[in-house]
Amino acid sequence: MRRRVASRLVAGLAGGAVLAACSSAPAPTSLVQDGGTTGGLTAGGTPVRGAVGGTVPGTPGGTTGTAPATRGGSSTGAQAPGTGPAVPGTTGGSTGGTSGAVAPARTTLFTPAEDRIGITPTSLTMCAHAALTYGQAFGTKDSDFNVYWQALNTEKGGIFGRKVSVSYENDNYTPTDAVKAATACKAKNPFMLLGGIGFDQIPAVRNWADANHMLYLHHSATVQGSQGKKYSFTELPTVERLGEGFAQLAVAKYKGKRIGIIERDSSNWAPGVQAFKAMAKKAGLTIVADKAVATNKANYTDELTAMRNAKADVVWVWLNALESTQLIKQSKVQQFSPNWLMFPFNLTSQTLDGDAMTPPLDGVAMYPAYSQGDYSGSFAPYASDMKEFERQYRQYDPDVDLSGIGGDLLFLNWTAQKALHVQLLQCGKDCTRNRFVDVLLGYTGQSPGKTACPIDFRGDGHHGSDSVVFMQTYRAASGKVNWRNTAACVRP
Amino acid sequence: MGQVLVLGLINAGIYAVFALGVVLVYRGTGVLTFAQGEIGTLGLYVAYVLVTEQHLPWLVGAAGALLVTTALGAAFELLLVRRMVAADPVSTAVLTVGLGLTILACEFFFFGASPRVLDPPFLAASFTVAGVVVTPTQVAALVVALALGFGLQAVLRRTDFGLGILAASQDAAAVRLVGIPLSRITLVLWSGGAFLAGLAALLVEPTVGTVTPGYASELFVVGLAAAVIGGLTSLPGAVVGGVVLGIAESAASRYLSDANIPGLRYVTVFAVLLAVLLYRALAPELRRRLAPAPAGATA
Repeated sequence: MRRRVASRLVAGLAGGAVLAACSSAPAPTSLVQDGGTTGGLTAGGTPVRGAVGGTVPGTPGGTTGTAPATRGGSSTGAQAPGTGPAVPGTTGGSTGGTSGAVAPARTTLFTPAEDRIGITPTSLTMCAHAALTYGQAFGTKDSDFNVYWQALNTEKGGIFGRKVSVSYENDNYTPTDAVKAATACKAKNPFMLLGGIGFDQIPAVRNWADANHMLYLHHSATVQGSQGKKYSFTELPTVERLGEGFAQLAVAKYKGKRIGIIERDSSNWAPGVQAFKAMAKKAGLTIVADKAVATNKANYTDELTAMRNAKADVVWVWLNALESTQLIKQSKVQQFSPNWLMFPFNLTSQTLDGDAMTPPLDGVAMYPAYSQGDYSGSFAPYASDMKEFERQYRQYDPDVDLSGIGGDLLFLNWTAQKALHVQLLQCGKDCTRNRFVDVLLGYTGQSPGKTACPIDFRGDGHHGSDSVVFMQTYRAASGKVNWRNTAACVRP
Repeated sequence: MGQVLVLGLINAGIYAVFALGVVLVYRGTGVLTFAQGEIGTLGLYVAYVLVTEQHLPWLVGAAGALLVTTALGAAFELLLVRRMVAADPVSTAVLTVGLGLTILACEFFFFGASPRVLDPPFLAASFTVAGVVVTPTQVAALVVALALGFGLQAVLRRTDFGLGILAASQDAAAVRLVGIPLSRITLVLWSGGAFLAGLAALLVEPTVGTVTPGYASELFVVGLAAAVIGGLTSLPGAVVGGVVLGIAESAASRYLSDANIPGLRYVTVFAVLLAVLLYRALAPELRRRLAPAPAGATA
């Protein structure tokens, strides 16, 4: 039994609250402050590929030479964004000085009065709606999700001298409360609204964002209902794409096997299943059972029996991490042990422990795996990110147990924030909401680290990624059962 | 069909054990208690600490859980309910909501929201009926529900103490006047109700598999519906209500799942509940209308 601080009662944060829009966005391996006198930052470490206008070569970094390249960031302010490719160009990033004549943003979503809300010469404020109560299951609290910004503010002075702050409003994992949370966020005048995990919440807030002219970066959600929305963006794959991703994994590993589905009874989750079935049909997979269950059903004996009756060899659990954990635990009681496909969280694997290895679980996600202290194998490509993440937590939030059930959630959130940092750098010293949208729409990135997948908004101007990550459980050297990547950036 | 019945009876055992505690308290005090689910969950956390963390035998954990939940029910009666003896039962019912929320907050405070695993006591002894793996605790849930439903009913009807409980629920003032210790009756009822909540949770947990704060709330809501179907004052009725809902839900899941009805489970529970309540409301009038007119009666 572990006594927790009272704030935990209201504080934890769900499923990557702040991973809002960008968890799979490319996180450069280094973001270094340049040697310029004005303290500008350059995003380093990535070659540059223009989104709209084709490939844009990276430019040398700052005068210190420590920054390998920028991806078109306008950290110097010397070159205005919005010329040619939507990605703002840069000539270097060494001066970081104030801009001279800055060309207007191509985007005109926000009026002049709206354009600079939440951003001043010294601060940049954001607000996130997230399932704070649900997040407690991961043993996290909201302040745990601000370590990246805390380190950035302390060590680098923020972004262009602006201290970054993110506050949170609880959406209780429901659409109604998510809209209330968004409204509460709006009252704080944030630069942008971030949306945490919640297939059901995000579509509601997406509508709200358009009605309220709020720049909204959100987590994965269904494409349905997003058509025509101008104010919301996501750099994560859609619900439909995730469904396809699960089908791809099933095809790759379990072709010829009998597939069962246990899915959330929700119109916002169903498109994922439809996409799964469509791809499964094309690939010749056999789906033998499909059962929809209400939220928090608790007792899944009916569904497990249906899977057993149908002789399912593989069961895709299209439910959240807590429900999946409960369901798999019950399957053991029911002496039913198919191969499982599910959202991969260490919460599930560590809670199930040995049951998560008999057989190993398979997962599809929009974020990279994390296992504290393991920098080998599939973790090697982004080991430097993991080490920096661990350093920051040791320094700024030492009480957090990164080896525990919330470690991977914090890591995916951290990588998302790092990616957002890059985009804010690219937005430049004269960043406004319209300019930030310019950056998003023109942003294409692919960091050397293999966690990062391509981002490209040229499709519908709203969704930036179609990449997913395949994972499987393994027993780490620490003795805990965690997830690790088996394939990164899997595309259709 | 056999499978629907088996699955239905597994569900029934769960709902019935939750319903019994509700009915016991309501029968004796006229108060609908909403804290049963969380009292039971608290008991599970006690068992978790003793069994999983302290490595004590499951039965010791279960005994600890029942002791704590019973003591909690007694404390609730002694410290709060007793001081509201003149209050409207609705006020006391609201107080139970507060108790449930307080326990929920304590669970979050001390254990967090992460799922905990309390392994079942007799996993190896499971057996298969009609293709469904049935665990000993699932059988026990149904047997205990039946035994308690009919046993407690017999106690209420055939013992002085039981009759005192029934009398107290009818007219507390009169009971007090004839020398029946009303305070002892309410103490037994509230602690007994809490004991049943703990027992229900222990019997249900092996089926659910993990413990989280509020984990029993959904099951408790259906249990409450079972109690209402049973008439709220009948202990055997609560068991029957559990069986009706359990089988209805199982049948709906089997035969209607292809119909893609959103929220099928709740639709089923609500439809059965509505049908029973409508029948209760309309039956007297229907009977009166269908009954032959007395001889000599004229319009």
